Formats: sequence, structure tokens, C-alpha cells
Amino acid sequence: MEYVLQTTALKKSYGQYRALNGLTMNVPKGAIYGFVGKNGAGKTTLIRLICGLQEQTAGEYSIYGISGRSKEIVKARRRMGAVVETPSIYLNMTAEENLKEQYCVLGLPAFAGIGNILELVGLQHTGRKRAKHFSLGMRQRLGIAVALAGSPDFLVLDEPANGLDPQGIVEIREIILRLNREFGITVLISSHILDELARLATHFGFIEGGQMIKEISAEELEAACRKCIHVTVSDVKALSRVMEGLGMEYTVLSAHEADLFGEISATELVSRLSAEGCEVKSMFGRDESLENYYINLVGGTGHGNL
Amino acid sequence: MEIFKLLYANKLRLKRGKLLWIGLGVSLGYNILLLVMNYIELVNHIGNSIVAINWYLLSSFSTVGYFCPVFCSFFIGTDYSEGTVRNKVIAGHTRNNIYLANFITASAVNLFWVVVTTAVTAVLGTLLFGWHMVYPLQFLLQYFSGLLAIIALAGLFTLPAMLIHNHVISTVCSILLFFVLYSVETSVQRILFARSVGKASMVTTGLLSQTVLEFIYDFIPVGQVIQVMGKILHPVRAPVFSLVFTAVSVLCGIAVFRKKDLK
Repeated sequence: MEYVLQTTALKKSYGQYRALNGLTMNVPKGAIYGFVGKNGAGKTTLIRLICGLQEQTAGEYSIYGISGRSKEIVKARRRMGAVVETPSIYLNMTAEENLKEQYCVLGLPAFAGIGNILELVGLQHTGRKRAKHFSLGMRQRLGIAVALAGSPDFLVLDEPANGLDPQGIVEIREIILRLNREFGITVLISSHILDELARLATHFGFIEGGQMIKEISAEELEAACRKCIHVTVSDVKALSRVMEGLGMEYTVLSAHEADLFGEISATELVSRLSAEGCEVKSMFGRDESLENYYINLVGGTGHGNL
Repeated sequence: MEIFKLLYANKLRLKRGKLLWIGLGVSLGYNILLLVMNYIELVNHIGNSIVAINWYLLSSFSTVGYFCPVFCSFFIGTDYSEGTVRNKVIAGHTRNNIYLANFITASAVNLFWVVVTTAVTAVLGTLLFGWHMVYPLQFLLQYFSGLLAIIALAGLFTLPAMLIHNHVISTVCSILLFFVLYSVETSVQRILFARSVGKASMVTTGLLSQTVLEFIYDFIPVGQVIQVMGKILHPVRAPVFSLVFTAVSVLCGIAVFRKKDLK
């Protein structure tokens, strides 16, 4: 399999603080790689390193097989586009002017194609409006447009849906899917919005404490996510007692909801809950969410705790 | 060459922005005001007097000197505050080229302001006072020294603009640095003048040696600009010191910028 990005035991320290602590990851060509981790896990630090904004303390990374320490890495980066933390745009310029500026930075001979890029991100009608008057979603899209100016094969997006409303999130998702499916662009996207990533990513990398906990494809994740029974009850404490008595695994989600794992007879469950004075309001089967999978992976709260 | 892409991008940004034209307006406005005020005074003065145009042609260096820190911190600082320096790094430009391109842009803008203001002043001054230049060779040397001095000034103020991530802090630091250096250089000028006419006080006599004071006066770009406006202490040494200061400031700036973690 061909990899666009590979890191080997990558480390980055800021003084005594270790932001990356031996991160090893592989981004396959053509994938939408969802990079999942909580705040401070090291996602943005990794992105800064591969974009050349900072130097690693130890370890290696390579882009298209070219080592990050090699002088040739600048050539590999020309095949990249990135939006790191916030969109890198001139607020006093229009969308078109921002793209022209980026074309000059890249040394592109003509401004042909700017219209197509603006249309791709849905900013073709912004006219003379300056970026400082754009909404957050429009700025994010302009940031992506600037990243696309050099026709990259590899696009890195650092939490592109941050602060966006639901429509904005959908728009970004549509753009990413189109870039990947129509243009074959490999996308590395870090995000907290796990449900959104679940709809988008073909591969996942879970990072915690500056280290990769697990890399998994979407197919493998689907197989790994456990089926469960989602119940809504009048008394979740009674449910806990019943489940402890049955010796079965469960996760309390709220004061009235829980996920139950394993084989269980609905009749037996309802009758035991009824004996405890607990009413079952609803019960249905579902797959484990990416969120639950991630929480279980990194050892978060959930089992029997309110 | 890669650096030309960055220079062209900077040129495009300059043309679209207002900073270039505000600086030119300030420089022209100051010089025109000087000419007009002096013309009014001349007209009201009884008797003939011939006005040498030298000083008016050199006065643009002072306004450019004041505006240079503001321009550097605003123009270069925008790349930090709006994150666009990241675009340049990700596009594959080296840190050396990014720094040099910004320094060259700041120098070019300084030179542009001075040359345009000088040209306008020459035309207007000739119309008002007639063309009368004293010691033309000395003037040419002073003007050449002035051009090198404002390039050195660009080198000085590119440093905080490129190395301080926070735009507001870099602007404040640049302006404070200018005023501190201006105070130091004018004080040194006063001491040197007092010593030259034998009127130095006990304090200033023992303060610092003549050599050290002259070095401070000659080496710091703000002092160089002050000398261009009046009398250059060491006409041959001054342009050499400007070049040395430029080289030192740019090399130091590049060395630090290369190691800087960008966000």
C-alpha cells in the first residue's frame, strides 16, 4: 500500500511538556484519514510538524517517501495544502484577491482556475466583499480554497468544522467528499466532532497523550463497534442493580438512558426491572457509536457511573 | 528564483493595501508643509535671501525614519496575526527567503518614499525658491548615505516584526525601540557637539569616551539618519557602517527566525 504520510516515533517537546511522545502513523494514499483525539492530545502539533512550521525533537516523518529532514521535503510540501488551526487568509482582501496572493506565493504563471476553486468551495458570488465581513463558515471555506490553490494531492485540515453551525458542517463535509472522490485528493482531517468524522473518514487514527493508540480502517471499525440494546427507563439505578445481578456489561448514558451489551432476553429484563419498580419506556438495538468506541479505547468514564 | 515569488506577492499586497500610500502621503505632506511654511516666511522677510534646496531634499529621511517601524510591524506583522506566513512555509519557501523578502520589501518601500518625496520636493522647491544647491558633491554623499541608512533602518525594524509572534506587541516594541534609540542618539549628538565647542559638563566629559560615543552615533541607523539631516560626522565611515549594520541585523534575524516555532 502506498502511503502519503508516515511518521515513526515522532516526538515534540516544548520545554518540559511533551506534546508528541513517539507518534507512529500511516496515512494511505486516497484515504480520508480521521485524526481523533481530545484537546491537548497532539493533533495540531503533528500537523505543524508535517507542514514545516516547527521541527521535531526526535523521530522521523516522511511525505511521499521524502524524509522531513531532507532538503527535498520542500518539493514534497508543494504537493500539500493545509489549513492549520485557523484559516490563513488576509482579512482585508476579497476571496479572489486572497487566491491571487496565494497564486503569486506559489509562482503560478496565471490566475486561471481561481473561478473554479471558488465555485468548488461555494464562494463564487462573494464579489468585492472582504474576508473580514465573511461568516466563520465562509472563512473556513476560503481557507480551504487557499490550500487548494496549488492543486495539492494531499490536504491537511485541522478541525475544519470548529465553530460552524450544522449547515456549515454539512458544507465542509460535502467539499471534502467531493475533493476525495472526484479529484482523488488524500485528506488528513483532525476533528472533535466524531459523528461527523464517522460519516466522512475511510481510516481513523486515535491519539492520546502524544501517542497513537490505534489506527483502523472504517471497515474494521464497523466490525469492531459492538451491537447493543439502547434502553430508556424510569429509574437507571434500578437498571444498574438488575444488570449487576445478571453480571452483564452496560454503560449509563444519562439519568434515564443506558446501553446494554451482550445477549439478553427482553422478557427477562422487563420482568426484573418491573420487580424493582422500574418502567421501561423504550428499547431498541443499535451499533456502538464512534464516540463510545473512542471513549472505551482511551479508558474514559461510562461503566456504571452517572 | 523562489524569492521573487515572495517579492511579487508582497508587491501585490502593498498595492492593494493602504500602508504604502499613507506613508507616502505623510512624507509628501510633511515636506510640502515645510516648503510652504518657509516660503511664507521668506515672502514676509524684508530683504533678499537665497534658499539652498539641500536641506529640503534631505528632510524626507526624517519622516521615513519615523514611519519605518510602523510600516514594518503592520505589514510584516499581518502575516503573523492572520496566519498567512504559514501559507508561505507550506508552499515550500525557506525561512531564509521569507525573511529576506520581507526585509527587501521594507527597504524598497523606504526607498520609494524617499525618492518620490525628493522628486516632488525638487519640483516644488524649484518653483518656490528656484534651484540653488550648495556643495553638490557633499549633498550627493549625504543623500547616498541617507539611502543606506534607511535600508539599515529597515533591517533594524524587520527584526522585531519577524520574530515577535504577537502583532500588537511587535508594533509597540518597534515604536518604543525607535523612540529609545532616538532619545539616545540625540543625547549623544548633544554631548558630542558640547565637547566639540568645549562646553561639555563634568558629567558628560567623563561619561563615555569619545570613540565609544562616536561609534554609537555612527553605527545605530537612527543616529545615521539624524546625521544625514544635519552634518555627517564621518562621511566615509557612515555608509560602511550602514552596510555592516544591515548585514548584521539581517543575518541575526534569519538565524533566529530559522529556529522559531511557528503557530
